[in-house]
Amino acid sequence: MTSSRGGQYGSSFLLALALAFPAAAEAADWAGTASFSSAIITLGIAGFGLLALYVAYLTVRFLIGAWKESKAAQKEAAAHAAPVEKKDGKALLGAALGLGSLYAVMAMGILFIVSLFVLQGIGLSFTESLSQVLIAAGFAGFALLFLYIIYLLAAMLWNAVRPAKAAPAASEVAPAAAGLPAPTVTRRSFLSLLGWAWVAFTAASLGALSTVLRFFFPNVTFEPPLKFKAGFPDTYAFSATGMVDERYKDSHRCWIIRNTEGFYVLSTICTHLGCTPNWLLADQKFKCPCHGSGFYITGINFEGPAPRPLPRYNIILSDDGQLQIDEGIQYQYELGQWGLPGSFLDYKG
Amino acid sequence: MFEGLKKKIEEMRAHRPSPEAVKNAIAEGQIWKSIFRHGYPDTPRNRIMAVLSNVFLHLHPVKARHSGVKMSYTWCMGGLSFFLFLNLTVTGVLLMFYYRPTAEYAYYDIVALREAVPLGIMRELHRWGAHAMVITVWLHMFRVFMTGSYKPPREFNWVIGVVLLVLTLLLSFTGYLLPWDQLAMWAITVGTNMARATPFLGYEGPGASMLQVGGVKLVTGGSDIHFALLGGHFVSEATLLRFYVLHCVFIPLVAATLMAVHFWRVRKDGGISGPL
Ligand code: HEM
Ligand code: FES
Repeated sequence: MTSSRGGQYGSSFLLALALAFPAAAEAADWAGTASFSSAIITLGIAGFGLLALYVAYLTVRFLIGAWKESKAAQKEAAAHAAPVEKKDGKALLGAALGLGSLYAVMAMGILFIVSLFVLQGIGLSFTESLSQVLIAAGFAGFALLFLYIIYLLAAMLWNAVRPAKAAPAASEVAPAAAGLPAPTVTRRSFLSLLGWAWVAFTAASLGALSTVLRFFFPNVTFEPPLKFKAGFPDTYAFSATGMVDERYKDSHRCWIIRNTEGFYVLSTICTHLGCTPNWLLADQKFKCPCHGSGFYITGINFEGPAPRPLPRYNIILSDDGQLQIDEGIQYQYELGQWGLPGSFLDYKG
Repeated sequence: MFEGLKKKIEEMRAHRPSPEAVKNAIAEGQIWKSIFRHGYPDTPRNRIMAVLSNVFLHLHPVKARHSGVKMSYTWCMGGLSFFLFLNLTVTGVLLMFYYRPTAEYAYYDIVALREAVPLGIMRELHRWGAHAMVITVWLHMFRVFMTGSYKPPREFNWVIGVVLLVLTLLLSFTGYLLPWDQLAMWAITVGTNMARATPFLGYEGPGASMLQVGGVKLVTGGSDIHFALLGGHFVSEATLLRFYVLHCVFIPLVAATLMAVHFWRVRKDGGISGPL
């Protein structure tokens, strides 16, 4: 039994992995936002799924083993038809009962919290309920562990008080020679399992901690909307070379430029490291105060460390006759996107 | 007239306990014993016990090598770095009594700390102390390098030192945003924009575009390390709060812990190195 344990653990891990993987893939798919954080959450779920499966598997295996053994022992006792003695397991019995009830109370408490979490989780927003489920899974894992330990204690108890062998005296004949099954739970196997349980416990705790990462990505940011109305076109002055309008520079980080052909919108975020350049009317250029990058009125860079031109934003004429700007859509010169519709609004005043 | 009183004073004088006796009475009393567990540190044994039984002192070795206390060898740069760290902790906590990390108040609270609060020098102590600490930490590293003290068995302490250097710079960086003036805003804008190019974690970094599930990018402008650092897409009030917490709580705690390890290791690695 001991020799094959490694193999058993290995195969049960593989089994659990095989079961967890499709679930993980699906979880990634649910997270329509498909962001970095949902990847982390997916990982966490997969980890907890693995853990729960693994513990469930171990428990079932042990239950079956114990059942088999009790059957065998009954048979054995019947075959010997000798007066059935009980081992003196009083001290052990007391300890096991005490510890067992302690664990049982803890397990009940944890299960209660789990159910609270799960119940509460329903009806929350998707990401919220996702993390609730994740935490619930963590608690469920712990509860399973506790239940498992109770089971182990019970098994120990069973070994202590189960029918002992009949004569000859126990010390003279080894159990194997007497044809008795080896005890299911020895001190060694118990400790080794406790070790594994501890590893699983630590893994679950670390998994739960990892969800803290998600905490750093709020679901709502209080930043100005990317899409906005910028007033009527005729409120903008123009000239042949273009006039730079700064009314949305502070609030929406863009310049609206009008020339005799129409409108285009430039980002005010310097392509070097993100400062806001100043429009120098006399020099007819955007000049960045941070490291001196310069851009023509078209947005093309010509001096300083900026590696590429300022991107342009989408601009159209909305139904009510106002300009409508969408900063979610960018046009980059170096990708040949400045010719695309939306990067320039034809408007001759 | 005052015969009675005079007599009484004479009597008290005759019986007054010697300073020695007072000292002994205190050092053998229960209060002293319960706090210090050993006698007054005037014997070699009690001196050692004084260091060993004190949680703060015990990080320091009981005995130091001669070269270890020579200014020309250590420049006392590590010690000065630690002194400055303590100074920054104390002045920093004092500043926290006035400073509010919000876009509305941050700048004016800083101004008020100079104009409207007694001991306006407190803010200067913190600011100049911070600059000084960055300098002394670099110089400390320089001296450790020049004396070859990074060599085995001290290589691990060098590694801890490198982490401490990074933490010192991060403290400096996060603190730089708090005055919330133009310099602060744009320096942090420039500095954090570099995080966009972090491999795998920044959305413009190498490898980030490889992280996709079913054609959907995992690392985007709204989910990368730059976003996590700023609490948004650009430096805003959310950033101010994040940097404030990092600056006042998180980084100092980690740095203080590592400093304890650093000093402990100096001693476990055989004390401060000596000239060969
Ligand atoms: C927060 C910053 C730091 C503090 C407060 C600090 C403090 C100290 C102190 C008090 C000592 C005792 C010797 C001395 O004063 O020179 C020391 C030794 C040492 N430090 Fe640091 N240190 C810091 C950063 C660093 C850095 C950046 C490095 C290098 C990467 C480093 C590497 C070492 C090593 C290897 C020793 C042992 C030197 C020897 O045995 O001669 N430390 N440190
Ligand atoms: S940020 Fe504009 S030049 Fe560096």
